[in-house]
Amino acid sequence: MLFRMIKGVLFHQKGKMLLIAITIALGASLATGMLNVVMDVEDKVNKELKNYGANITVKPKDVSLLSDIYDTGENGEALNAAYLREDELGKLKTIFWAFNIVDFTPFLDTQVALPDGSSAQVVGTWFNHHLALPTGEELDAGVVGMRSWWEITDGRWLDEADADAGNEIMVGALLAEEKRWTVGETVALTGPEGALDAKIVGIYDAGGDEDSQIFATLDAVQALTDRDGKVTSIEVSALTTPDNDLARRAARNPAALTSRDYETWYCTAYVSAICYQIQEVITGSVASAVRQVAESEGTILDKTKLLMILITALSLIGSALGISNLVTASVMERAQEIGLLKAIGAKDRSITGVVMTEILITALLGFAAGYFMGFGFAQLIGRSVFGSAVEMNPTVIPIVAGLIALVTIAGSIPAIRMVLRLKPAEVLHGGH
Amino acid sequence: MTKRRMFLRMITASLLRRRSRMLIALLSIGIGATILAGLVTIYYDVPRQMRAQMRSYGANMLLMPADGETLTEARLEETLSRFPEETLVGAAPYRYVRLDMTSRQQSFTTAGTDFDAVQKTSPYFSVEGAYPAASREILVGKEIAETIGVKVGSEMELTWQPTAVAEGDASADWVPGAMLSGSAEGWSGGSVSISATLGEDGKIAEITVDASTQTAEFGGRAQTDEAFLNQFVGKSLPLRLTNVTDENAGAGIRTAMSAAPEGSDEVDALTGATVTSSAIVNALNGARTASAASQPRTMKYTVSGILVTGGEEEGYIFMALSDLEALTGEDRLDVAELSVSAEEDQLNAYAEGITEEDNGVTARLVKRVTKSETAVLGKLQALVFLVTVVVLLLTMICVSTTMMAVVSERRREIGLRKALGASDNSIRGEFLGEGIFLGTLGGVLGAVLGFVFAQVVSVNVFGSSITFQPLLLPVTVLVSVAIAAVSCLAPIKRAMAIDPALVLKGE
Amino acid sequence: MALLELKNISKIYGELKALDNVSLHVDKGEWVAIMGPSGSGKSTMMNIIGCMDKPTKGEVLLDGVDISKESSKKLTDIRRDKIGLIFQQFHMVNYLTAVENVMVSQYYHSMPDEEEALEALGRVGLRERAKHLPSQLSGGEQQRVCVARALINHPELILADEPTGNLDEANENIVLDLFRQLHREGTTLIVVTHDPEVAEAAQRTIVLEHGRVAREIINENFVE
Repeated sequence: MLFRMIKGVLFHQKGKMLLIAITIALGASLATGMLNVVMDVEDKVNKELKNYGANITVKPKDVSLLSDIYDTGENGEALNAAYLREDELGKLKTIFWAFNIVDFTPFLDTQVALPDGSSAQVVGTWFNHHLALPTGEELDAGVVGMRSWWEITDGRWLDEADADAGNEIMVGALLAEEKRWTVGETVALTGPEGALDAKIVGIYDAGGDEDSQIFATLDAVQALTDRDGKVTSIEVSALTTPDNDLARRAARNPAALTSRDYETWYCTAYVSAICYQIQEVITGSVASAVRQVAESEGTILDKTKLLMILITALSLIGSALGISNLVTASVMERAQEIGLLKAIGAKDRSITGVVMTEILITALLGFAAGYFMGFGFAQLIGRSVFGSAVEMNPTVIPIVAGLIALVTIAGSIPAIRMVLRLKPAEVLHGGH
Repeated sequence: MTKRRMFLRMITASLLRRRSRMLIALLSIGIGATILAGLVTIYYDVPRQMRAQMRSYGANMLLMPADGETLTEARLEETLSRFPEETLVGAAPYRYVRLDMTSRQQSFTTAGTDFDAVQKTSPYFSVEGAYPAASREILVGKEIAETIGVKVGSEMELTWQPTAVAEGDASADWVPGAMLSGSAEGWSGGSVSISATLGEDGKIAEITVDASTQTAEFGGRAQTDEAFLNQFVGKSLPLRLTNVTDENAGAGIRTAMSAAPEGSDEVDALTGATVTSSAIVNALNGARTASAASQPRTMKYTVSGILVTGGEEEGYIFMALSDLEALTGEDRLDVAELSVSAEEDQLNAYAEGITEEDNGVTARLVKRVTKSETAVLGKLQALVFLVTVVVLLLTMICVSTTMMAVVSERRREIGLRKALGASDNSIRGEFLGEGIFLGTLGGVLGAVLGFVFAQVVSVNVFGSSITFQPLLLPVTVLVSVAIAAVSCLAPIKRAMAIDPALVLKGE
Repeated sequence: MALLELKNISKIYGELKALDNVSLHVDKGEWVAIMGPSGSGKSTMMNIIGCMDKPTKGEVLLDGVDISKESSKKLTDIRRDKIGLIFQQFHMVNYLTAVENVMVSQYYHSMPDEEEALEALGRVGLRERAKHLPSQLSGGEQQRVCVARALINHPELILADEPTGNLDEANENIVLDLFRQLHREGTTLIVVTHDPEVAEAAQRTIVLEHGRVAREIINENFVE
């Protein structure tokens, strides 16, 4: 009988129930959409922040300070310089947080003599180096991705896929201006161990020291300096989790952590954990966080996430109140019907049961429709803002479902109580 | 009783006696208006607030001396006055020199700066220990600290070696702007003293001579004779004295003639005052040697903190600009890092303005920071925009469904009024009257609550408050009224399309 | 003189003939009852007379004007000016007091006048309950408010649909007495009912069956 009554309501009060279903669907879609966006926004904004360049630099263990501090030797030859191995770079994509390594590029630089007798710094690096990893994954790594702020004022990016890439260079705007070089020109570069007739394919404005440097392929610079397979530093761009206290303690000395803390730390994408893992795979390396980038990323990510959470909270409260409002309104509208049920001897509990079941069935339908609509909204936001899909987080489903159930019940109970308090005769005579 | 009074009486009765329903409607409009006002306020405030957060990436503009000019603190001050106070987050001056750590025979690049400003322009600097607070305290980069093994609280002796000038090396670089002073023995044992300033090019820019001990009609003229004094200007030290009539007149004259190698700049002796002239040249050359080879100055510093940045700063030592000036005796800057909170276009305009003003300062943007900031901020704003639009749209639909439910409930009443002879327009008027009232009340309520919400968000997320946008109040009220009205009209129209007879029969 | 004249009207819903070629003539000042079992076409007829519906075929002359082809807007005007309606479920605006409910009728008709409305309530014996809300009134009282509301604009025709259907006998008598009073004052009354007692109070009873006029009974015992 209960079933029949419910069926009756659902079919005969189609209009009203539809309205409730629509409102619940809207509320559910809002909740689904916003929660999905919030859960994914960190990743998305994190990727955007990769614009600021590398957040990790990897250097050989016992180096740099010496050549930085003593300007000895034209290119550090005088010191027993340390290097990293180019062939190990692919290992970066094998660490625990491999998936979070967005891009990386090696560097090897040297001084070269120019035809006019002056000298310039040549930086050898990857541009869009194609890597086929043992895992089967393929990617293009290099400065094209890691110097997104470069403005190519003339010409184009050097393309490593070109057959002639080894003889091509890109020149900083300041240097090009000083030497009056133009795109297409060929410049003779004389390095310590070799020479190169390089063709200028692009001129860039980097707004920094790089404006007076020359960028060439890593192979070319290795040939100029006879340092086959060697690189002096690696820049890595990684998606990281903002540091917390644990991360800061770990950054000082991972060995001092308890094994439990160590586990947590190692398995969280803190920049210090990723650095640590990079050191594990790159022989003789020291990886350190570029604080300017890493720290600021943390700040901005935290702020963005908090902002989105608060907006989500507001919209959730809004839709919750909207739904419970409508449910209240629709229950009260049925005062007469409820009065009739009471008049014919229905117990309060069974009336509540009927009404709640109807509303919950409606809510379920609304939720199902709303979930998919919310999915659509999340995708709309993801595609149009970040140009990539928002990942659907399965935990959203129970959260939204619970929320909707709670809101629907909270919305109906006071109304039902109010209606039950009415005397059947009054309701039936009230002229509703 | 007029019709209008009856109209008002009916609406008031409906609002007051149907309290629970009206509360529902009001609540729903109020929520809608709150979300509208809150989100729109946040949307307009986000770029400003986020831009302030983005400043944690550090300096986005560099000020450097223009070609052949010197950047001084006074000039920097003057240039900074171009920026509106609220946009300039910080401006840190830098002067780089190399100081020796004699005990280890190593030298380090040392930056003199203003630590208060550094904390604003480079908020990402992490200091183990503390930033220097007192004078003679320094910050040591982590790489250096690890290499030489200093800790917070260690003491370091740093030595400034003035640019060594080998005797007779005319091409040696002179410190621009250096002040020289000295004296030499002139006629009959009287002391002739000089003071001179070197220009940007290292050549003599100004010279004053005190020859008051000399015979007024002979050597004393050197103090005032313009033709004689003017020949010094624009000459490089050391100088050779020429046009000497009596070559064997004395040791001082011989020294003045031979102190500088062949090819050095020359000055002619003042006729009749050869001894005084030679004293002037000797004093200048002596002052130069004294200055150039002046004793290296050493001071002891306390390490107040170790700097960790992950960047090249870890290989530097930082000290207060005043400490560095005390050590080197020079007042000049190499560069100033500015953190300016402004859009990229505005930054470009500032940079061009500064460079064109030709005050000896050129400005450059740090592209990595400005470009990226523009890109990221653009995305964030688009995100908040879309979210705002979606949330608003859904909320407004929610509000209208509730309003619709509240109005649909009164279908029978509409039927009754029609049966009593009410025209469609008058029914519409009555319901619109209620809708407008609810819309206005809910709108005002929402505008206030929305502002409170935006304020809470701003304080919690960005730690700063926002200003109330007065325009938002009428806009919120208008939108609320429009939504209330529109969502009333649809169910009224439906109710009116039905025959009053059917409605009255009870479905 | 005829106030209302139905000439061969039919109302057809698809296959169903709710009214089938019905004619009726009501004089000014006459009191007519319409009877019949459920589905006989009573309500359809009442809706047509009350300007809330139009016949599919035939003419309806009210005060000599054919209203069967009028627009619904025009019908609203005619209903407002000439007809007072009383319903079985005594519909009242539930958030307005008794006097306000009466005034609503005035409001749509001409000018609200609280004094006049109170007088009308006095006539139905509810002057002291004027400030009560419908929920505070008994069924009979509500129906009497509806009668007051129906007569406030001095309509030429009062159309009552089962006016005593939800009332006990005492209240039924009060309402019938009110009808008698109105009749004496010259108001034309058409009462749709299935209660023979109510029908007997009228001068004439029309019995509908299957959408047709089955018979017409003149009430011999009618007392002026």
